[in-house]
Amino acid sequence: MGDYDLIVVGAGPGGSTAAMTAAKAGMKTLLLERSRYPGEKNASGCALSSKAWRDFSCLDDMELPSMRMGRYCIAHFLSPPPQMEERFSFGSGTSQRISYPEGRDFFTVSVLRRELDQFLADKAVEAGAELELTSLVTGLVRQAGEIKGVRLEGGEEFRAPVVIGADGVLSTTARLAGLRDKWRPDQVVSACVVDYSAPRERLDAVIHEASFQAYFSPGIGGNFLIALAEGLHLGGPGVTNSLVSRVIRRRKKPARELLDTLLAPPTRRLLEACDAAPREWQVHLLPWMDTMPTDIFAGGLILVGDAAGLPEPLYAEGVWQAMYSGRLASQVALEAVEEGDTSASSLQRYLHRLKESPVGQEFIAGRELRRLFEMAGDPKLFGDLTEMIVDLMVNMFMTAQEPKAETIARAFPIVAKNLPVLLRMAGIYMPAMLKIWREKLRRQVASIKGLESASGEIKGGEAGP
Amino acid sequence: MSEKVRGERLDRFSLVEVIPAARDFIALDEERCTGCKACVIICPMDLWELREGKAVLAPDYRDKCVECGSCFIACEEDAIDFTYPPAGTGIVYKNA
Repeated sequence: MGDYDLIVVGAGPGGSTAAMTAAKAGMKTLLLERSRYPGEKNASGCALSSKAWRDFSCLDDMELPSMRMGRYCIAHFLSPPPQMEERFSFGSGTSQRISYPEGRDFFTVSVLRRELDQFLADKAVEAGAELELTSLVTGLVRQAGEIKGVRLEGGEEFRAPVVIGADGVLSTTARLAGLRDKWRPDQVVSACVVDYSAPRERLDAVIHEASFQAYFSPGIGGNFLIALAEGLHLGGPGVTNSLVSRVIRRRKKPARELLDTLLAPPTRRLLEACDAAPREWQVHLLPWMDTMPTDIFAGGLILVGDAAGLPEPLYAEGVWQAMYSGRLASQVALEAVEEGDTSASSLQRYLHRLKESPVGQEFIAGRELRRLFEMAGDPKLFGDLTEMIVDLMVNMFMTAQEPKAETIARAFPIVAKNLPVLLRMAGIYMPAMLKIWREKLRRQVASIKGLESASGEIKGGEAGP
Repeated sequence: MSEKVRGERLDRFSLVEVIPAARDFIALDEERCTGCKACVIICPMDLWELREGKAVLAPDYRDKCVECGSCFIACEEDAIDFTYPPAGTGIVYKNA
């Protein structure tokens, strides 16, 4: 039995960031983790986006053994199974149009979750949070309808006016609070990963900083490759084919599909060149929503990260989202505790702020973005698209087989032949862009209105709505 | 192509470390089970099978389950319940 200002359930990136934020602000904070050390249970999210460095100064001094820089991304487009040979690939460095310096420098840093989660939990402890390992929450303490603490499996109780549920995709706190029993099959992806060991010198020579790569094949979706300092992860099948509802409909085992497609000749050659050997088999569920969930708070409870279903709708990226929502949840908890009101209506500000934050913005046109990725699961469409790009590239730029005037002129018939495919693409892109523009406009108008009302307040005038 | 990278030879069970839980953490409600096979298809460790029209969980699942919870999500009849195994037991990931 102990009393705290805040209890955080789960010492992943979301929970540790929440605990660090709260402890730094002077809250007496308890961080509970069911495993023996942070990161022991996490099997996904080892490519951390540059956004995390933009938003979290605590990462500035992060130097971990498994880190590998991701300054170049490669997408490989393969022919359909069973051949799965390379048809074309697209590689790219960062764009100078990205709005922050880290984003112009790199895409991601690969890092083992075992190391990242420990690093962030250490930061929380340094800030003054108490970390309790091997502590499984199995019950909530309630008082007058509000959540006022947690109960561990052994019966031990801890009390606090606010509990932050950072306990992942299968969130126990969400379930105990009655927010949901579980996500629906069309809201969750079952991602399998084969982890390989590989000598650093080989990876430096073969992969260098192209640490994030994807392998697309018609009907398969995209398998991904993430290279670490001394190892690499091959995961899949693509989000489209590993969406639980789709797995059930297709009646094809995701684990089998990954193991079958791992044998694609390009990935085989890469593994061979890197002298890679299988080291670990990892499986993890990821929430994959097209709209931002709203049932993510209750009286005395705030959900963050995967527990709140926050991974973005295109690739299901979620670690930065967990950290961002974790910090925001602690800021809201601090305000609510200071005001002495931790009811659901008081904590609702978390939802509003999250919606307006960069995490919420990722869900603008989420439905369309998800459809874009689902296209990869359409063998005909994706195959036609792949071959159209090959045709255009070869005939317009890479031709030495026939007179140039002959081949270059083929651009028109190639595009004409593929008009149906291009129209389908446009049918997804155009509504997405319209939605994004409309939302941008709405935000701009809102911010101008906000400025007006803020200046009104300063002048002592009446505040706007 | 060297043997060691070949996916078809990959033995999932030798590539996971599990500290067996001292109690059950997956439960099947046979009344609700319709034998739809969703759990059989989704389980990445092949721990479910169909016997006489009902799902059956491998008796040694506590030694092999990776705690992904896929069966729990996939079961649209709410026949499968999943909670976490006791603290400090279950799957151990070292390179995730």
